[in-house]
Amino acid sequence: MMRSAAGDTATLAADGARLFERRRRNRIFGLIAPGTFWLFVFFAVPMVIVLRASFNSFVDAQVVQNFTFANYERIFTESLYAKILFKSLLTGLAVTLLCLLLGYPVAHFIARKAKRNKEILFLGLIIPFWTSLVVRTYAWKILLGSSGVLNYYLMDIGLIDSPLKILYSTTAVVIGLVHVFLPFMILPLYASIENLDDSLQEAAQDMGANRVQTFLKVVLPLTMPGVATGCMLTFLMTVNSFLTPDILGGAGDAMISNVIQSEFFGTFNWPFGSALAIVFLVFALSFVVIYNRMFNLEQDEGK
Amino acid sequence: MSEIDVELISVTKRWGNVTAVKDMSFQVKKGEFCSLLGPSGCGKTTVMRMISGFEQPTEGAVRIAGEDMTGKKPFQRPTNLVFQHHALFPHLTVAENIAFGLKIKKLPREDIRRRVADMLELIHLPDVGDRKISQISGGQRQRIALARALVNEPTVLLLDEPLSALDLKLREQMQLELKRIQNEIGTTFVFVTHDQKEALTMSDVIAVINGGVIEQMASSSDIYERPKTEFVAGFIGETNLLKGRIVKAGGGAMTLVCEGEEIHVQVDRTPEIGAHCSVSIRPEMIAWGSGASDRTNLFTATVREMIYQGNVVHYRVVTDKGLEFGVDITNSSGHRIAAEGERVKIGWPVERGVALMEVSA
Repeated sequence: MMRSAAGDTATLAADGARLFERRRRNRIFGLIAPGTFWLFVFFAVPMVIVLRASFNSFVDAQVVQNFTFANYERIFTESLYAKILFKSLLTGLAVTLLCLLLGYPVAHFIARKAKRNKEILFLGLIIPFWTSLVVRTYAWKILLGSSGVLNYYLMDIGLIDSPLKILYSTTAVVIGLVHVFLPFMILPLYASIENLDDSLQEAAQDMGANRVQTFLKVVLPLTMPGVATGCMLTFLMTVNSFLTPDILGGAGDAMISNVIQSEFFGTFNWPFGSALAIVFLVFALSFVVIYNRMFNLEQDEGK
Repeated sequence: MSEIDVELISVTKRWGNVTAVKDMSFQVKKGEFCSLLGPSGCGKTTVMRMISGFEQPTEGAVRIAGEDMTGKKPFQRPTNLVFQHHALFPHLTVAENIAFGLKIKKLPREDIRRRVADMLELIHLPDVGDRKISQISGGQRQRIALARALVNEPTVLLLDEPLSALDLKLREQMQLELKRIQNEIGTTFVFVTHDQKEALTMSDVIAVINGGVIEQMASSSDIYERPKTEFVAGFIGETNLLKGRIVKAGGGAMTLVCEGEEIHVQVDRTPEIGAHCSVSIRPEMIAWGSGASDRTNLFTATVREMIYQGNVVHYRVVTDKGLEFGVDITNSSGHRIAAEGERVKIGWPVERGVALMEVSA
């Protein structure tokens, strides 16, 4: 009697656990379903359509249903597209590096030194997002133009005789992009610096490390996750930026997105535009994969 | 052996209106294991941080091995610190953690390797050098932290409650381990703790700190058996504090009246008649029943409470005039456990009680 009663209890408990597990799964499914649906309908399906369109032909300004690799052939044979890709990656690299150099001290200051003013400083980081990017970018036009604010003051104090030609150059694009993406660098850096235990820095100092050595041997390695996340965000967003190079850049400063846009809405060559979009997407994805690999490997080695 | 490794000279530390340490002076001899013991917020950690250089005294000076440390940064001092939560570098292996200080000093690679191996040997963990910090246990981490500090061969090793995060069993093991290592290498240890048992177990000298001042600094046995103040008597171990007025004094002894009962106690110098004073008598120093009959302080009392604790029986008894005592009796074959309400004789010889001076604030 005792044994069978115990057995029943065990079965009941197991049934209960199974039921609980099923309910838990249903609940999780219920929670993620809307998001998944949204991504599927508005991201995955359009991507498939773009992929299909990239194999069509464009004859006499007309899209012709087809299955050809001609568009891809053109991308890899005409040097123009490799150049634009290269230029975009280079701009991305420059902007990322500048953001890191400018952002690290700011993030460090907010995380470590600003005790009471932390909220205000954070607000300062976020306030620019309340203004339209278009407006902010046009503001740079006023600042950087030949008769703009910057040139006016530089000439006024006698530093230069004739206005610097900054607007419609790569310099202007880089300045504008650093301005836009700096917060995206600072926030992840802030998070990882904030997480850093004070006693680790004290331990380094206690064992004879000065400020520079403490930073290089302890602070920087331990905030690498923040550096990696910030750099990845900044780099990807820079390479894919459209508005800033469009408004502040010159003829030679077109980036990937500008070229794709002009194919779609300039020449209306949708198949070729689609092929460009796919190629650049693959580039971006492989970059992310390689970057993650590298970064995770470093994590495992603990260097 | 009478060389002084750590010396505080009239050190005061203030933060705004808060005085954490008040005009504190003490010395630690070379090779001594000194504990700074006190409740949280008493200033013991501040004292330690001033010795290590993370804080500067507002007034006074800290000397290490005879040298004035005023204005010296932590990395310029011959001290090393073992942190409360080990503070090991998570991005480095165990061996790299221990080698950190030596690499900063740019020692030859071969020397570093040998000294790290020696350290791992000293802490009885020779095989964990290649592990990551996340792969070793809490007790091992504290030992690695100890090795990381000791490998730099500091004049003084400072330990900031390094065992407080460990569970009881491990903590007791580590106390003996620390004592062994200190005996082996002979470095001066300054150990900060709020755990009186821990301090008694390990220290040559204990400085009991309360409210930013040292209440008493003495050997473990003196701190326990001859406390100087009410705070020391109450903070270290259990005690009966009997407060009363002095009615008779002379010949190296005095009598005070507490709740109508006369208490006799030895004194160093003759006190003033009529002054207030207290006497500390440890619960285990009080004798029971027939063992108490020839004591100077002898009372008939009623058992109010009996708490059986295995090796010890703890009683609360009250005399006819209403003076209450805690008494600890070893549960040996000779002891018959008394029930509540039972009448018993208790007493102690005059030299067992300790007269406590008033704390001059």
